[in-house]
Amino acid sequence: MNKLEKINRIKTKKPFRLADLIIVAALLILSVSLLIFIPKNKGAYIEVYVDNKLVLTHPLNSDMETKIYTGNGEHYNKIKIENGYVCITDADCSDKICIHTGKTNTKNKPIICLPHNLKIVINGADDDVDKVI
Amino acid sequence: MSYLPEKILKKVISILTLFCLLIFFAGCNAESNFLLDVTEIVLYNGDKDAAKKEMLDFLYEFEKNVSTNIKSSDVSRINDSKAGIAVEVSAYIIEMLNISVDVYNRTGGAFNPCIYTISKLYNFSKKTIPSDSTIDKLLPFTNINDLIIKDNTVTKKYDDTLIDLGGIAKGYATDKCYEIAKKHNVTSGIIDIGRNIYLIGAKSGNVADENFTPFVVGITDPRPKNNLYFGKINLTEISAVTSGDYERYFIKDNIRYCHILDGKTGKRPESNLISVSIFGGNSTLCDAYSTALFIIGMENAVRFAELNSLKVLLINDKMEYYVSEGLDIYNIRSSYKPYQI
Repeated sequence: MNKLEKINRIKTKKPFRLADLIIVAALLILSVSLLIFIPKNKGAYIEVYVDNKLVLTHPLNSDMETKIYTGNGEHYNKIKIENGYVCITDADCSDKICIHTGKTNTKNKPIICLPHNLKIVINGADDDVDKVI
Repeated sequence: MSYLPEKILKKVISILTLFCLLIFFAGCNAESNFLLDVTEIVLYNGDKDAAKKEMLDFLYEFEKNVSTNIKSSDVSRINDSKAGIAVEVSAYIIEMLNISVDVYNRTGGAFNPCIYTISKLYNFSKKTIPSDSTIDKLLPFTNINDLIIKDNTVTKKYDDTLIDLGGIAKGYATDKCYEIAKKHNVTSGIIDIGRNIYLIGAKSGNVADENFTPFVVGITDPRPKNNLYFGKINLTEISAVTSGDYERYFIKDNIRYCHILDGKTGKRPESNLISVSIFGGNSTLCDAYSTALFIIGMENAVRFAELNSLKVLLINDKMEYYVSEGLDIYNIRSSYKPYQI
């Protein structure tokens, strides 16, 4: 079909078709429902990074225990959330510093397992402390 | 160019791309980013973006010269060198060594980067310690005064001498970052290198105007129960460092061995201290002294701090604490009691 015919066809057709309206409506409904159903204030939650990639998030106010595999699945760290604190309870790393770090509920004290390149950070928590030494 | 068949050209390009990717990723894994992994820098004013970039660039280079794990680092080259051979090193290695010699001599050898000769033999994952006879054999090689530090070179007296600047490196790096901040007119911010911190100015406002909000620092409880902090302290324009036995340690036969060894004996310190915090304007010295005081025990540390006008918090294994005059630590956990001098 040559160019002239194409242009004519576009000129004579209606600017909006029913399909367009349906798509726009669907998108509007989707974005509104996302706004409504995703809670605005999540409260404190953890973010777990392995090799600088986010692998898990979880609220601090909900107890849980899980095992995270690192180093291509050859190693692990066990994470526990209890009573509003998160800690690493077990790991097969060489120095166990991540376990010794103990529990935390503040962004000022992340838990880091350097040998496994794993990091637990806390967000959404108010803390009057700026730094921990 | 147009004479090369397209197919072959495409193959060559894809092989080259793969090769480059492999080299890129191999290079990424070859060097550790330990210092950068545990560093957090937050600057509030001045030329903060340029300052932060300069600090991170510095830390990246610094790590490459200080790490005992990187074969080509200045420290490794010193360690691998034979006695009598002058090893050329960066200026800041020389500076750290000179400061270390001074602190070594002031603390009766308690702070000693040359104890690495022996501390290297403690294995934290296998929980093994060197025998007394091995320690005795190596002790003569651990006197830091035997190093010849001249111009920009370091010469060992003994092949077996090994050094580790880990007890002073973070403090030194923190001071360097502080200087970079000042150079860029940053007067408010926090430098945190592996929990060796420098608080620049105040969180908001001007300290000079007396109308400011200080930084609030939490001090880790060395034996926590359902809490995080031993206590809190408000600080401005000062460095703070803690040495404790609660992160890097292992327990063997009911005895706790932490990463701090007595620089004079090569053995676990006969000290009753479990945590030492020092507050001062010179982060390098705070870092070195926190290790030294940890080793010499509560009574000696109190005396040393008073004699040298150091501002310290000392906590011993009987849950007793000593705070230097002028330090206001509050919300101290009730299970700790003041130390009676």
